[in-house]
Order: sequence, then structure tokens, then C-alpha cells
Amino acid sequence: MIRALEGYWADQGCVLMQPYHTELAAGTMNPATFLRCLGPKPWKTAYVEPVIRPQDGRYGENPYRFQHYFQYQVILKPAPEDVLDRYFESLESLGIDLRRHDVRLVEDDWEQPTLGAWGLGWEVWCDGMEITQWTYFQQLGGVDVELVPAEMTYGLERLAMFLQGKRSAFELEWAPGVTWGDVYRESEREWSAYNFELAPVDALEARFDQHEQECRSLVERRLPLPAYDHVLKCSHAFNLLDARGAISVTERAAYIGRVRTLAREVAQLYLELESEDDGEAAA
Amino acid sequence: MAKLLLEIGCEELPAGACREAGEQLPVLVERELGARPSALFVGPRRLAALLDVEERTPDEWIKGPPENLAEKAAAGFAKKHGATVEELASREGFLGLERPGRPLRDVLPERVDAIVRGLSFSKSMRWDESGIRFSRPVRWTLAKLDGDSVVGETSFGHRFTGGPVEIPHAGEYAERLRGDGVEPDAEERRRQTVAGLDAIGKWSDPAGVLEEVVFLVESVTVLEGSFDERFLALPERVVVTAMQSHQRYFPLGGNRFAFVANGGDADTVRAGNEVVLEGRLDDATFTFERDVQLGIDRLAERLGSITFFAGAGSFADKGDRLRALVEKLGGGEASVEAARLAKADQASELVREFPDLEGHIGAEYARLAGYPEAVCAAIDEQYLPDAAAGPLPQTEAGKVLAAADKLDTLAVSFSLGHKPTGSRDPYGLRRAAIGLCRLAVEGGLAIPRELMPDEVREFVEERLEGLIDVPVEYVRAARASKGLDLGAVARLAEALHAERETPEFDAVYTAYDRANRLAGREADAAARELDRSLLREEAEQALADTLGQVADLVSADGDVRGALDAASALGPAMERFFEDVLVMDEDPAVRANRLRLLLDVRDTLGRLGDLSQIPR
Repeated sequence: MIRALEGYWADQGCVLMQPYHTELAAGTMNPATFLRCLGPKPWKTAYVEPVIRPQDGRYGENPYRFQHYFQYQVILKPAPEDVLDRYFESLESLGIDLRRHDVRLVEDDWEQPTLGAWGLGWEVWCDGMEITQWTYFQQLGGVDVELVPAEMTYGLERLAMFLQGKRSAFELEWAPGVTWGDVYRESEREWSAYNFELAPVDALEARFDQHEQECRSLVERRLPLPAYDHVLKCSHAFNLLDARGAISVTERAAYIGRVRTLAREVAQLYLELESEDDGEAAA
Repeated sequence: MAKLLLEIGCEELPAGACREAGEQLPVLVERELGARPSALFVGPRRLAALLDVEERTPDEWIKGPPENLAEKAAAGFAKKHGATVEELASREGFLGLERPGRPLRDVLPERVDAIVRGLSFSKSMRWDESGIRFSRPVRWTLAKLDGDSVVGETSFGHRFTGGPVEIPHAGEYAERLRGDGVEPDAEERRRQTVAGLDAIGKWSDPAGVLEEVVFLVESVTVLEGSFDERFLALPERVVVTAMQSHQRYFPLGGNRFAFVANGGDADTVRAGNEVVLEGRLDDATFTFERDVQLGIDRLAERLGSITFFAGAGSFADKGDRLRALVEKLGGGEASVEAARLAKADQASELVREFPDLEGHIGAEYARLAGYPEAVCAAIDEQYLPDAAAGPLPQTEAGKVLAAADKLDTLAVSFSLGHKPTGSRDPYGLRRAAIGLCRLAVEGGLAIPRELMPDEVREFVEERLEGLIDVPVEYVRAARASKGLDLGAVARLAEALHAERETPEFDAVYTAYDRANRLAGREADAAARELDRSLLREEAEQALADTLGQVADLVSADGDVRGALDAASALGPAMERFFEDVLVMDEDPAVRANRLRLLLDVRDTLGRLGDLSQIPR
């Protein structure tokens, strides 16, 4: 399935990226999406992203909820006129016969407050199953996008369950004779225990502060790419604190505001540097 | 005359956007094309209108400056309209420009563009360099005058089974699309959906998804599905919510449901939807069983660690306040027990998944734990009424708990400065206030006004003005009364209004008015208490006597009609008083005493409200 998607989107001219090296709660947070979607330069990419959502873990007991799963992320910037047709063609490349199934676009407005980002789009349903989150970005890091990108985020486990007719992700055939559960169930159990019970609250709070600090000083040194990694680390620390139940409703808003401020500063710096580079190139 | 077809082809529009466009399109079409549509087609992938038009736009006369100012103004006027002075003509003493009408086909492209740009949506986006904002991207436009394509070439059919669709003549639009598997008319899709559902069986739609489904599909196929009966062990509303708000299905009772597909092979689509629903129900069951294993009492014990409202403590604190309020509202044992358990479901996992079912889920858990039905029902009803015209709690304990919940939310929010401003009311305080009023007025629950801090009382009682069917002045008058509970204020306003033309009301109103006018201004000069020994004149003694006789009968809390009858006896006594007695006596003690007497009259009658609010 991943190979089919890689092949299809490579043929569409996408740069095939690899997963990012720090914890992300969504493929959108990968700099290949978040930063590259800013500014006036066209960009096409596709990649697998393992996403980490500590709050969603269920100790490997619930067949639909995991703290770690996979997305397949595609960005076409700017979105071509036939972008939906291309997306549907990608489903056909997975062997989905669009005439036999009921494929629908159901309104879904996407918002990621920690990144100051929003867009309009849909959930794509196939016979009632949500298989893709589809978004036209409008703002990232509080900045209006210049070229409107289309983001397609396939839920790989869901898609695989649909294709294999399985009712539990644990039963998915991940490789011949090996199930998804064989590979990940134990990790779900252990990580859920860590996320919900053991993650050290004081240390995480301190880490959040440190990453925030470091992000700031990297912004001052005009290094947006490493600075952005610290935004991601703040975001992950926040998610862990949230899973530990260590954040009250008011604190929550404050934390989100802090991450958003960092994301905005990094986005603006990234844009500044990009336009300076262009200026130099032109000169 | 010619037939004009205008079609705006879009990527899938949300139902709300379809409705907005459907409202605006006729107006925009008339503005740009000079005629209202004879037919309107609104759906997720196309907005279209058919209309009869003149083939030329009307001649126009652009009026300019008066002829006598030609020297100064003609050149500027001509330039503004892209003409030369020589082209100007004159009519009735004014210069101007004759703009002959043009063939409609020439202006159609710009008019179509103006219509597309003229539609506005509560949420809109941009997608390319055109700068157009629309609910979702516009991918084609088609305008046909009779058989000629003026803008675009063809329409497009069903997304997966159709392709380009030739429309030979504007008038054949709907027919051609139907031939390609698209039903463009929303009304027709609604009719087909309802007919399809009716044919399957007795369906329900408590969440009103029909209105959305009509705009989710271009071709209607109503299918039936079922799920494993073991999921019937879940609370019914959990099942219904999973079906309706997540999947937009229509429950058919038991383990059956109906849904509307946009196409596909019926068996494949049904099987897929069944798997998805069972997945959702499996997930809910997993959560439900974990909650039930803990039980409602253990859940309630966890409330201490869940914040209700920043600055207002935890849900455990909220529970304590509710219990105190319930007691002050005179609630019985069931309502006190229900108050203890009311918020327990906030600690449950199922409420996190189904937040709309708060209260209901707690009630189910209380039932499973064996609590008496009165307690469970009250937990279930605590958030009612949850809409302006929504149903009220049916049980006494439910009413008491629902009132306590709203009183607490209002008091806490106001004390923290979260007051509704303009149209912003994120905490639903208006709804809570209206709910309280309805519990008092329609539900007959005694809600002591003293349970509300001043600001909250003001806010709640202002809602009465819109709620009961009497002019606001009567409500304002009644709000100033000494009525003890919220319901009494409403009943008083209604009674004052009903009695407004009776002689008794007139007598009371006049007496109040005269006492208030004369003594109200001099209140500082009045004696602190009435001294009967200073009453010299017979008329003032008589007034004091009458006042003494009726005082106990004048109350806003009981039979207002009786109170008015009793109080009306003060009318003749006041009349005599004003005929025979000079209030402003030379002796300051006598004067102060008479002022006091009038103030006593005013204050006694004032228990029935500030009658000066009522216009006469």
C-alpha cells in the first residue's frame, strides 16, 4: 500500500521524503509540510509519518485507538486545478474501484491551534469509513499562505483495514505472516503506561521551558530550522503533560498559546530568510 | 426572450454553504441579469439557475451635471465614464451619456463572474491567484443562452460515473443531468430520500441529519444496514449518536439503520458501512464497559481532579454547591442524591467520546448501579431545557437539579467576569438564564430570587422580558416588586397587564403615582416612622387606617388579583386625603409625618412593582 502510494505520487513529481526524526502529532508538523508550505515557492512532497499522540493510547486493548500510528502525507503546492482527480486516482492505484464504492467528501474544517494553522477541506469517506483528511491550507503559523497548498493525509491503518476487510488494526497483515499487532501491540501497552502513568511531570515542565528558551535564542541567531525542532519538542512535551492529566483547562490555553507564539516567530523568520535569499540570488 | 442557464461547478460544498448560496443566488441573479430565476438547483457540486431573459441589456441613461455647469463639469464627467465631451447628450436640462443596451451574450462573462464573486459564505477560502473567495474551489462555470454556450462548454456529471455532459439547450439542463445520474434539484433529492426511507420502514432522525444528507449526495440511493445485536447493550442514545452525528445514518429501531449513498454497488457499500458502524460501536462498548466496571460512585470520587471552570474549582466542588442549592430550592431526597452524582459522568470515558450525552450517560450508569429511578431521571434531566424552546424536565427532582445547575453556572461565570457580550456567549449563559425563567414560569418551580447575586438576578430577569407575552414595561414594573421568587415576578407582570383596564388597577396606579410624585422627591424630609398622634385631620387618619387594614393583603407572592382588590381601597382614601389635607404643613413634624404616610402608601403598593414603569 505504501509502495503504491509512493509510486503514484513520485510519478506526480513529488519529492519522496522520509519520516521526521522527532515526535510529531501529525504529518502536518513535519517541516517538509509546515515550513515548505509557507512562502511563494512551489513544492510537492509525499512521505510516511509515524504520528505520536500520547493521549490516544489505550494500552493496546482497543482495536481503534493508538498512541502511535501512521499517516501518509501528500502536499501539492500550489494545488493544481485537477487536484481532487489526482487524489482519486491515487485511490484507484490502491485498487479501490471508485464506481463500486461510495466515496464522499464530507465537510471538515481543519484547525491546529498550537501551530496557528487552519484550512478548509473534507474528510474523505469510503463506504462510511474516513480514509483521508483533505485540506486546503489557508494559514500556517498565523501567516496567510501565498500559494494555497492541498494537503492529503491518508490514515494508513484505516485504509489498510478497509482494503484488507479487517475489523481491528491488530489483525492487519503488515507483512506476509506478520500482523500489525505482532509488531506494535506491546509497544502500545508499554508506551501507554509511560504516557499516562510514568512520564515525569516536573521534568517535562522543565523541558518545555528549556525548549521554549532554546527556540527563542535560535530565532535570535536567525536559524529557523533548528528553532522549529524545538517548537516540535515543546508541542510533544505539552502532549505528554496533557496525557498525564497535569494540565488544567486554563493552563492548557496558556501552553497552546506559548507553542503558537513560537510557531509564529519561526514561520516569520523562515519567510524573512527565504525572501533575503531570493533577493541575493536576484542580485 | 431567451432561456438562460447559469451553472457554477464546485468541489463539494458543505450543506451550510449550499443553503447560504441558495438564499443569495436569486437576488444576485436578478441584480446581474435582470430577472429572477424560474428554477434554482443547489447541490454539493453545482449551483445553477434557469431564467427567462431579454437578449439585450436595457438602454441606460447616465445622468451628469446640469447643462448650465457644462463648462466646469462636463469634461470631468465624461472622463469618469471613459467618454469624450462630444459624446455627451442632453436631456431635460442635464448632460448625460446614453449607453445603449448590449447583447446579453457580450456582457454575460463579466456578469457570471460578478455572481460568483458576489456569493458570500460564513466560512470561505481562496485556492488560486484569481483572488475569488468561495466556500470551496469553483472548478467550472457554464452559461447557455438557449442552445449557445456563452461561458464554458459543457456541464459535468456524477463525480465517479459521469463525465462531461452536453447541454443542448438551457431548458434541458435538469433532464440531461438526470440522464447522467445527477439529481440537481435539492427538493427532489429530499423527496427521494424521504420516499426511500419510508419504503424501508419506520425511521427517525432526532439530530436532523436529513437536511445535511440532501446536500451530501448528487444521486440518492437509500440503503438499509444492520449491526450485531450485542451492541444493543449500549445505552440507546449512544448508539443513535454514533449513527447520526458520526455517520449520518437514520435509526430504524433495534439493530437496523438506513443511510443514503451517492452511488456504488449496493452490497459493497452496505457491507462497508456496517463494518464502520460496528467499529464505532465496538469502540464505544470498550469505553462503556470500562466505565461501568468502575461504577458511578467511583467515577464521582474522581471529580476532585477535574476542573469545572478555571477559578471555580473542580467538578467535586461544583457537586457540593449543587447539593447546597438543591436544598435551598426545597428539593427532596432524590434531588440531593442526584446532585451528588450529577457530574460523575464528567469523569467517564464515554462522555469524552460523546460530550453531547453528558447527563444521559450518568443517568444510565446510575441505573446500572441500582439507584432509584427518581435519582436517575433527575441526572438525565439536569441540562434541560437545552434549547430555547426545548422540553423541560418532567420530574420534580429533575426540575430542582436543573435549576440548581443553571444557578451555579450563572453565579460562577458572573463572579469570574465571564458575562455575555453582544452575540458572544461562549458559556451559554443566556440559554441558562432562559432555562431558569422557563423552569419558574412553565415548570412552576419556586426559585427564590435571593439565591441569585444581584447581577445574575438582573440578567435572568431581563430574559423574562422576552419570554412572557406582555409588554416589557409590565415586566420591568414587576421586577421592582417584592415578589420572592422568579415565577411570582412573571405572574405579577401578567396579572398587572391583564388587570390594566380595571377600576381597581386604575385606583392603585393613581394612588401609587400621586404618593410617589409628591413624597418620592421629599423622601429625605420624611419622618422615619409614622406617628399616629400627629395625624390631625380625619382624612389622614382614615388613610392610615385603610393602609393598616390592607397592608397585609398586598403581596406579589399570592393572588395578585386579590391584592389589587384590597389595595384599591386606598384609592378613595387617597383622594380624600389630597382634597382635605395639605401635606406641606407649616409644622415640620406634621409635614414629615404626612410625607411618611405617603411613602408608606407608596411602599406598600410598591410591593406590586414599580408601577411608574407602566405608561398611561
